[in-house]
Amino acid sequence: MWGIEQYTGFENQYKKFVKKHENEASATLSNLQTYFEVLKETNNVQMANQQPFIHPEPEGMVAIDQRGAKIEKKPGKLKATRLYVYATVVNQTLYLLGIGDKDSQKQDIETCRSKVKRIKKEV
Amino acid sequence: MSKRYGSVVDVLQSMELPADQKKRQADYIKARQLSRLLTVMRSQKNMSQKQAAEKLGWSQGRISKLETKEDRAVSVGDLLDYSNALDLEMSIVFLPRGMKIVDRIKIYALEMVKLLQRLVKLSKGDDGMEQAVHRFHDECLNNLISLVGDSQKSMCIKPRKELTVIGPSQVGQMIEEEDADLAHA
Repeated sequence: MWGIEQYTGFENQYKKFVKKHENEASATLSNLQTYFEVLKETNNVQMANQQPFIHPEPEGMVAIDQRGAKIEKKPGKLKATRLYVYATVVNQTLYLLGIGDKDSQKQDIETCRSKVKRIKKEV
Repeated sequence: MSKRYGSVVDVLQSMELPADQKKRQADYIKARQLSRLLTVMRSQKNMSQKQAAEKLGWSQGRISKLETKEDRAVSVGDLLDYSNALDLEMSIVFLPRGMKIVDRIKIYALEMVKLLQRLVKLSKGDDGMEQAVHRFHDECLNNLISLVGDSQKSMCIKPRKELTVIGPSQVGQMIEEEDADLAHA
């Protein structure tokens, strides 16, 4: 049965992000729930990765964006968000690695990439 | 080993965030269960948004919007069109508010019996069909027993401790035996 695990450091990063961008964070989490349900129902990572809010990243991880977020105050001013996750059928786990915006994208990908390498060794 | 969660809302609830913020975010996720189900069903059919859009004669953007819409904003017409595109039949079920799970199971069981009765009615007068429906009853029974059995087996019930019952006559006998032991000592 599929489950979600927060990898080291995720919660702190999320708490910082949500303080500034709650709308984007909510929409990204909603898309994460959709991604997780597709995984649960199909047991197929490739199928889950075909969703339009998914962006392929190195090491088999993917980034989930904020598509569908409410635009309340400033139209068009939503921050492009990336929630980095890694799904593995071996132990049917969806790992939450990190979250950030376009400004921190390069650094976020590098950090999450090393986390995935560690997960691959652990699993 | 880090904690394992069964949903994103569970992850959110575990975080040290202000309660009102957690509620707002959980509500956002819960308000899109129906549209989320559409995405899941489409994926189960191995269909992309583009393919679904082509079948419906819609733009891909319209599909994308529908799949992230709040449930309250989804129209019955959209659901009918979408289920047609996925080759699914849509049915709407109204149940009493706060209905217990056990009562739901009973309703589904009754629904199954009703459908079986429809099959029986349809097969009447046709020997071949009657035989087939009879066999299907066996199949249903076996599957049901096996599925319910599997569900029961997944439970870890601790064996009950045995109860020791001692009546007045045994107590009297025990006292006599103890007295005799003391006398011998």
